Amino acid sequence: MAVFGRPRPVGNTFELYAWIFMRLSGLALLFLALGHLFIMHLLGDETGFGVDRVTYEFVLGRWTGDLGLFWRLWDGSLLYLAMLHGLNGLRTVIDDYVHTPTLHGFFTFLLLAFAMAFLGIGTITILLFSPPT
Amino acid sequence: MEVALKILRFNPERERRPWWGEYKVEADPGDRVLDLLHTVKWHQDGTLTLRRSCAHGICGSDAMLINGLNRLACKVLVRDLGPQIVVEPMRGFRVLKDLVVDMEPFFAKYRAVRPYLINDEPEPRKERRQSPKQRERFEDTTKCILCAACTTACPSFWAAPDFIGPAAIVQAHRFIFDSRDRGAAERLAVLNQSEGVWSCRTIVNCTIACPRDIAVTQAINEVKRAIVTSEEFIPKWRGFDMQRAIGTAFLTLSLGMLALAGFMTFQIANHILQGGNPFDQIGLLILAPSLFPPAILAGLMGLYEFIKAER
Ligand code: SF4
Ligand code: FES
Repeated sequence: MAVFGRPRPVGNTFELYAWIFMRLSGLALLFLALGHLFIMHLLGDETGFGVDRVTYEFVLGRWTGDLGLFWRLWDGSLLYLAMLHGLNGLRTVIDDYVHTPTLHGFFTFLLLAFAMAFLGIGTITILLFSPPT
Repeated sequence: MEVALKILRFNPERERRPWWGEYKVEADPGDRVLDLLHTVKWHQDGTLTLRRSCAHGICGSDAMLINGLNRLACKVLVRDLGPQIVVEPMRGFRVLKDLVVDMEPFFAKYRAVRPYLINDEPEPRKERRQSPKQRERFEDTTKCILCAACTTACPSFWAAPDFIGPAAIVQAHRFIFDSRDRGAAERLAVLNQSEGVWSCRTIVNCTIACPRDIAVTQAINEVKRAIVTSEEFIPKWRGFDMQRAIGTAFLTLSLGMLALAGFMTFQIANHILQGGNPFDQIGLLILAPSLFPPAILAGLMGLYEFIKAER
């Protein structure tokens, strides 16, 4: 009697790519986030040390200076990788703990909506930010 | 010595909920928990129901939760547990009676990975030969006795009973890495689903639970790696090689962290040279040295990936 506990493979490679993404984005984030932490909270200059010197002008200077594109790319990758990394982590938590189909769908939708909103705001800011004249 | 034995009893046909049976049993420190259960069944309460067969740790029928850990009752000694012993059925399966659980879902998953040699090539005249090294590749997973201790210790399985579970993956591993077998792609396709290996969150309960000392989590990760590096699932474009890509990622990370740490050290030195108090920069002082070990580790892992890819 061949009773199979699960359907035949459907050839869905989403989980596989999600898994790879988690590893690669994790590696990149280690670098991006540590660098971010270092720049924002530890480095010092004549205006002070660490987070004390992070003001509107500081960010403005970084984003519009010579290296503006670089910093926007950095912050953009940080935003996307961290957001999607966290999103996928929470998705697996929901998969693990919420088994009622309606609730499962509801939470997943909520999560997606939040992530999209934050990604949207972040993208607009990073792409369209220009110093007030 | 006298052992206070507590057993979670349940007869679903008669009772509404499980209850604790408490028994005082005279035991020798060298006795096994199975001996205690026998004493109860044979001399105190004949209705106690349990599975056991070989009584020597090889048939896999008496895995149960003993003092909070999955073990074989025939393998764990009283002297290693002390005078208070609590026995419960394995978690995650339907209890049929007392310590006997319904193993059918477990074996259905076992069958789903096709746990037998698949090879359509014409049979050689004698046997299919295999070098000791090829055999070594899957030696560990041949030891599995299908006791289900690993699967029922797995929180991912408790959360999602559809998860194929560590035992089935161990059994798949045994054939996937067998040089005589040709069914790897088929099995990897079964395991490459959310209820397959991707439900594993590397909690490592399975490795702790296994009475045969199989490195279960490692076997699962080897299967994951086989899927990730298989051309079946990730198309190879122009010589792209996952293993080398991972190696490169690790090396870049290592260099990045080294550069960061070096830069921080430079900052501190600069600060001191200008007559500053190094403890002004306490954050850097802590972060810079603590970056070196992970940087070196990442570098070694990158090199390891490359060496493995070369082989
Ligand atoms: S891997 Fe170990 S714990 Fe799991 S079923 Fe096999 S022998 Fe039992
Ligand atoms: S009775 Fe066979 S393994 Fe314990």
